[in-house]
Amino acid sequence: MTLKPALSHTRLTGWLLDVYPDRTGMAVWFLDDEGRRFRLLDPYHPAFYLTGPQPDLLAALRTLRNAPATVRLVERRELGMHDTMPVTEVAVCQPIVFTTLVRSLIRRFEHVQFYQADVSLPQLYFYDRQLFPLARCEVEVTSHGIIQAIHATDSPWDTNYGMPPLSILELSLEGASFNPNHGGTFHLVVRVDRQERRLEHTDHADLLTSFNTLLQRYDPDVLITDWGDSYLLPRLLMLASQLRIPLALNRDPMRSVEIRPPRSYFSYGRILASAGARTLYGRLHIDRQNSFVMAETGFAGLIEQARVTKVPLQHMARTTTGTGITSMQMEHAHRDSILIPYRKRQTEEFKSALELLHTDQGGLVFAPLSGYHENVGELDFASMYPSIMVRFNVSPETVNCSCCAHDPLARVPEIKHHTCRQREGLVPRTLRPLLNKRAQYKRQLAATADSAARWVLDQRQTALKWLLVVSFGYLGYKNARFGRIEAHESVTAYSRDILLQAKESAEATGFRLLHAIVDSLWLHKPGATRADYEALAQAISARTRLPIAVEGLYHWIGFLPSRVNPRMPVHNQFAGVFETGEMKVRGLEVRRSDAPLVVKRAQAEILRCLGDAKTLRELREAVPRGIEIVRAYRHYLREGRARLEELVISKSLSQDPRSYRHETRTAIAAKELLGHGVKLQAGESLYYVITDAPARLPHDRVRAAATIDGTWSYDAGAYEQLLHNAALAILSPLGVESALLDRLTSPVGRVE
Amino acid sequence: MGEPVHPLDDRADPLLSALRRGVLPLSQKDGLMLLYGHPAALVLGLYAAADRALAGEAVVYLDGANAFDPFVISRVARTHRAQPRTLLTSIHVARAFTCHQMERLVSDCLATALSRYQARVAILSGPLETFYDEAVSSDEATRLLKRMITSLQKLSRQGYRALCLCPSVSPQHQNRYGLLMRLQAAATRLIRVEDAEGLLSLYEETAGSSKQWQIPRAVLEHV
Ligand SMILES: [Zn+2]
Repeated sequence: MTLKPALSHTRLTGWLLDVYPDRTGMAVWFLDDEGRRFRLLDPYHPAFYLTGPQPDLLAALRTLRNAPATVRLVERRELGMHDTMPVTEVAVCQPIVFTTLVRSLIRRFEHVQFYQADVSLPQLYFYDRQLFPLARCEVEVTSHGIIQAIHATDSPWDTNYGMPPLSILELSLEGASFNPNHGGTFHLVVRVDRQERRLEHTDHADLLTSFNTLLQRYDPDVLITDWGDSYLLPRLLMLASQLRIPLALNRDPMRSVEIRPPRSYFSYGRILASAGARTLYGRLHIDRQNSFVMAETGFAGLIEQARVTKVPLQHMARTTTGTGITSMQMEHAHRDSILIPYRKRQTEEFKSALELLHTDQGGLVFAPLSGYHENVGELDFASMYPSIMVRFNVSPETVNCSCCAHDPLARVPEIKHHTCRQREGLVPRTLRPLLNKRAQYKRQLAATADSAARWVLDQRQTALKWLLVVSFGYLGYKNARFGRIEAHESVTAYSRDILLQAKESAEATGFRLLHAIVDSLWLHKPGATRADYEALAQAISARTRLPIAVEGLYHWIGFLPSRVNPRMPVHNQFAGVFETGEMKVRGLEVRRSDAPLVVKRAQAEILRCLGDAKTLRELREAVPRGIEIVRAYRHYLREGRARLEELVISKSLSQDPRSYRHETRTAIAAKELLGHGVKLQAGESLYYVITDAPARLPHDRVRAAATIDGTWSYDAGAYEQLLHNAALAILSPLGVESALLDRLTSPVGRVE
Repeated sequence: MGEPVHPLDDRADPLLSALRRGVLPLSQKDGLMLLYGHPAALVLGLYAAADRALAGEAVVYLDGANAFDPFVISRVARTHRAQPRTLLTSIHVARAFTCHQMERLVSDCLATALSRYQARVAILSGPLETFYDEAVSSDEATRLLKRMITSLQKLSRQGYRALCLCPSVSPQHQNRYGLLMRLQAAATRLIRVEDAEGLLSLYEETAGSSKQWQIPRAVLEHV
C-alpha cells in the first residue's frame, strides 16, 4: 500500500481515521471503501475570540497584522447571559501556528479576555464540520487531495454503526507481567493478521529492520501496545536514533513521534500518575497499559467514547473521562454561539463554614445493619446524578439564576440554591442524549442473545456509563470550563432528598431499610416477591420522577463489619448471592488490586462455597466447608508451594518515593528499585513480595517483584495472616472468631 | 460578635496552646505570614482559624487545597466548651480549584470579603497548590502569583493579616519551586514546619529571629 495513491475521482466514501493541524489546514487521514489510505488536506481556519478594554484590544490586534490570520467583529454570548456581545474573531489560516500565536497574545495582553483559545484543534474541527472520530464520511477532493466538502453520513448517536476495516498491529513484551520499567528482560512479540511473531534478535539493528519491515508490509492503522508509552516506543526510538535507522512508526513521513513526558497529578484526593505518551500521525497508537478506558471498556468502548465526545482516539485513550464530558459541553456551547472561556476565573461565593457543612455533604448514607440477611431486595436509581441534572435542570448557568429566585418550585431542598425553570441549561442538554443512548444500548442488550454482539453492546454502554459517572464531578471541579461548585452542591442536595423519599415510600409499604447509599437501597420484607419490589420501584419512580429499577433479589447478603472495629458498620463491604446464583461483592480482597492473588483465590473459593446456600440456615451449614478451604490454603502457603505471581502485592506510591520517611513495605520496595536505577513517580504502582516481615533490616522484609531471581523465599506467616484476615471478614459475622479460625486451620496439628 | 475570649487550657488542647506560644494571635506586624513545609501546615491553618473564631473574630478562609474541614473546627469548639455553631458561622470560606480562581479570589474578592465580614485575618490554605497545575504554563503561573502577592501586600499595608499555609513543593513539581520562593521573599514572617521524630517542629526563619517550638505529632493524628 502506497502512502499517496493517485486520486482518480473526486468523490470518496469511507472513514475518517485521523485529523491534526497542518500548515495550510487540517491534515485528514481517510480510509476509502476500496481500502486505500489517503492523506487529505482540509483548508480549515480555526478561530479564537477576544474582547477587553479598547486600548489593549487594539494593541493586540496590531500585533496580528503580520500574522496569518483574518479578523472580524462578530456577536457571541457568554454562558448564562441573555444578550450577545461584540467580540473579535481571529481565524488562523495556518492551524499549525494557532497555539503559539494564541499563547504569545495571552502572555502579552493580560487585560484581554480570550475565548476558545485552548480547545484542541481536532476537536474544534470536528465541532465545526459536524464530524467525529471514525465517522463514516463522504468527501469531495481535488486531484491534489484538497477537501472541497466533507460530511458525515452516520451520527455519533447511532447505536448500530459500522466499523471501518482497521488493520491492527499489536506489540507487546513476552515475560513482562509487571511494569517492565522496573526491570527484567523481555522479548518483543508482534501480533498481526492472526499471527504471532517473537522478534528474537540479539543484534539491535536487525531487530529494528525486522520491525520496520513488518510496519511497511502491514501498514497498520492502529498500533496497540502493552507499555508502548513508557517503555517500548521510547526504547525503540532511542535505539533507532543511536543506530541511525529511521523507524517507520508514523504514517505521515513529515512528522516525528509526539512525546509527552510522564507526570503525577491529584484527582479526588488521590495522587495518580500518567505515564506520558508517544502518539503518532496518520496512525493511532494505543497503549493498553496506559489507558483507563481500554482497561474498563475495551476497544469498542474507547471508540464509543471518542465518537460521542469528539475527542480523537489517541487522546481519549489517555486522558481522563472528564475531558470527554468537557468536550461534549464545549461542542454544545460552540453550536449555540456561546463563548468557551479560556481558563475559568469565576469564583465560588463565600460561605460560612456552617453553610459549607450543610452544602458540602455529598450523598446520603444509611449505615448497614451488620451481618447476614435473607430475602433482601436491592433497588438502584439509574445514573442518579446525571438524571437529577437533567430532571431538575442543574447546570452552572441555571443555578441561582436571576429569573427564578422567587419561584418556590425552583428551590433546591435543604440548601439556599435554586435552579432555573425558564431555560434548559448546557449540562442537561449535553447529558440527555447520553442517558437516552445508554438506555437504548441496555434495551438492545436485553434483547440480544448472541454473545459477541452482547459483549460489544456491554462495552459501549459501560463507556457511556463512565461519561455519566464523571459528569457529576465535572460540574464543580477545576477541569470543567463550565463547572460551578453551587451546581455540584445542588445535585447532592437533590440526591439526599430523593433517597429520603424512596426510603419513605418503602417503609410506608412495609419494607424495612437495611442499608442505603446515595443511589441504592437494600430492603427486606418477609415473603416479598419480585413483583412487590417491582411495584415499589414503580411507586418510587412515579413519586421522584427518576428511574429506579430492581437490581435483584438476594437469597442472602452480608454487610460486613469494619476490620478495625468489629462493632462499626462500614458501607462499602458486602457480599451477596442473587436468586440467579450470581454474586455481588464489594470492598473485599477479591475486588482489591492490592491483595495477592493467592488470597483473592482463597476468598473467592470460600464465597463460591457459601454461594450454594439459599437460606441463612444453609449458609451457617456451609461454614465448616469454608474453614476447610482456609486450612488447605494455609497448608499450601506453609509448604512453600505458592508461586511468585500468586504472592505479588501491588500498591500505588502515595508520594514521591524519595520523600518516604518511614520504612513501610511500599517505601522499602521503592527504595530497592531506585537503587537499581529505576525511575519512579508518585501515583505509579509498585509490585513486591513479603520475604521476611519481622526482619531487623528493612530490605530483608520485602523484595520488589522485578528484582526477584532464583534465590528468594516468601514469608509464609505473613501471607497466612493476610489469608486469615480475608477469611475472617466473611466468616466472623457467622460466628467464627479469630482464635477459632486460627486453631481450626492451623497447618501444624488439626484440631477437631 | 460579643463572644468572650476563652481561657487557654494547655492540656485540653496542646496543639492550639503550642500555636499560641509562637504563631498566634497573628498581630498586625505579622502582616503577611507564611507557614511552609510539612503538609500538616494545612491543619495548623484550621486551628489558627478556630483560634481567631474562639477569640470572637471573624475569619476569611481561602481554600486552595480543598482541605477545609468543618469537623476540626467543631472539635476545637467542643474542646474549649464553645458552641461549634458559633465558630462555624464566623469563618467564611471560598474554595479555588484553579490558580486563576485563586488569584481572582485574592485580588478581586478578598478585600470586599474582609470588610463585609469585619474580619482582620485572612487565612490562605495551600494557595500555591493550584499553581502547580501543568495545564498552566510556568510563565502564566508566575504572572498570576505576582499579581496575587501584590494584592496581599496591599492588604497587609492596610492593616490586615494574611496567614499562608504552603506544604512543600513535591518533587514532581520542582520546576515550580520558584513560586514558593517568591512567596517566601514577600512574607514578613516565615515559619518552617518540619516532622522530626514524632514531633512537629516549627522554626522561625524571619530575619533576626531563630525561635523554635514543638507540637506532638500525635495531636494531628486525631485530625
Ligand atoms: Zn430562571
